[in-house]
Amino acid sequence: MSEMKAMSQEEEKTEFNWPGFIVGLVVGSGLFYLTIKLISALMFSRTAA
Amino acid sequence: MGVSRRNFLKGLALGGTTGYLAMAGVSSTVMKDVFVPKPLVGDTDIGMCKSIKCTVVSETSWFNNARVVQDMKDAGGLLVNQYIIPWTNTGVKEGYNGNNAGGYSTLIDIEFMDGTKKKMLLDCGWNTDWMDVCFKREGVDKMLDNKEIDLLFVTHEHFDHYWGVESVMKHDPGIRVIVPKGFYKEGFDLLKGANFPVAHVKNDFPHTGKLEVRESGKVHPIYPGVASISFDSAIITRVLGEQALVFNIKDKGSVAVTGCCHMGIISFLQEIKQRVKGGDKIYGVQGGLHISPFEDWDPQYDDLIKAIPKYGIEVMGCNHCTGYLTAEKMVLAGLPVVQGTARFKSKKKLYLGNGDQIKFG
Ligand SMILES: [Fe+2]
Ligand SMILES: [Fe+2]
Repeated sequence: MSEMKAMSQEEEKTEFNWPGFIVGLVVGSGLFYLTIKLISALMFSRTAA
Repeated sequence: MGVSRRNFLKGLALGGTTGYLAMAGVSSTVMKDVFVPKPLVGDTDIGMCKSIKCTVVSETSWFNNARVVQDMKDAGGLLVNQYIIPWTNTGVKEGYNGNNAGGYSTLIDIEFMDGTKKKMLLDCGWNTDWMDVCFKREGVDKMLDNKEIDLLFVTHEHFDHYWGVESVMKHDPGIRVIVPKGFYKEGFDLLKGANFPVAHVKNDFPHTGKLEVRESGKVHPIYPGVASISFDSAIITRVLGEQALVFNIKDKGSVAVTGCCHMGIISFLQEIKQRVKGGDKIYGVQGGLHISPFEDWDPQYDDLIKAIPKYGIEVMGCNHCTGYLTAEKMVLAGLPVVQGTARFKSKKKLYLGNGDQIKFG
C-alpha cells in the first residue's frame, strides 16, 4: 500500500502542468511589461529634471 | 491535492520565467516603439513666403568686451538690473566716439507668394548716436520716415537690443511694436518716453502706435509664412523672456532668425520642429546664437557645436553673441557659416558683419 502511494507521487511529479504554465506566462510577461512601462515613463518624463 | 498544487506552482514558475524573458525580447525588438515616445511634429501652419533678405544694420553690441563685463561686475554682478548699471560711455578707445555702447539691429525684407513685399526691423540697438549712423548707412531712417517699415520686433529687453529705441521713435513713433512677455516696467516706460540717467538711456519720442506683448509657449503668426515664438528665458542683467522669428520659405524650408537666442539655438530649433508645420526641415539660420559672446570657451560649448550639424542647416548666417571662437569651431565642424566683410567696426570676416546682407529663398 505504501509502495503504491510512493509510485503515484513519482508519476505526478513528472507531469507538466499546462494551466500553471499559461498563468505564469501571462503574469511573467505582464510583470515585465509593467516594469518597462514604468521605466520608460520615468525616462521620457518631460517634467522631471 | 498538495501534490497537484506543487505541480501547478512549478508550471507557474516556469511559465513566469518564460513569459518574463519572452516579453523582454519582444519589447526590445518588435514592440520597442510602444515604449519610446514619438517625436512631436509641428502642426501649426504658418503659411509660406517666397524669400527673405536680412541686412545686418549693426551686430557690434559693444566695442570692448572686457569693459562691458567689468561694468556688470562693478555694479554687483550679472544679475543686477540693467537700468541701474552706469555703463561706460566715455574714454573707450575702440568705442564709437569713446562710448562703449553699440547695438544689435537687423532689417528684414520679406517677399510674399503674391510678389508683394514688407519690411520689419528686428531690434533697435543700444547707443542712439551709433544707431543713427547705422540706420543712415542702410537707409533705415528714410524707410522709417516714409512708414515703409511695418513693425519693430524686439527680441528681448537687453540694453544692446532695445535701448536704441529712440533712434526708431524719432522717425516713426507710430510704428507697431511687438515685445515678448517678461518686459519690465522700465522697458515699457522707456517706450513711453522715460529717462534713466544712471544707465545713460532715454527716449524723448514717446511711442504712439500699437504695442503687442507676446505670450510664451505659443507660435504667433505675423504675416503669411512668418511667425514668432516666445520663451520664458531668464537672462543676465535681470531680463526675462525672449522671442525669435521663424520663416517658412517655399521650396527651401524653415529659416530661424534670432536676436541673441538666450533660450539656446538647440531649444529654438527644437521648438520650430515640434510646433511649426514643415519645421522638420531647417534650411537656414541668421542672428546671434549666444554661444561664446565674451570669447571665452567652456567644454560644454563643444557639445553644442556637435549637436548643430544634426539639423541639416544649409545656410548658416550668424554674428553678434555667437562669438568668433564659435564661428571658427563651426567652420571646422563643417557647418556652412556665411562669411562677412568686416566693415563698419565689425572685427572679423568670420561671420556676417555690419552692412552685410544674406538672402534666403
Ligand atoms: Fe545680444
Ligand atoms: Fe541679450
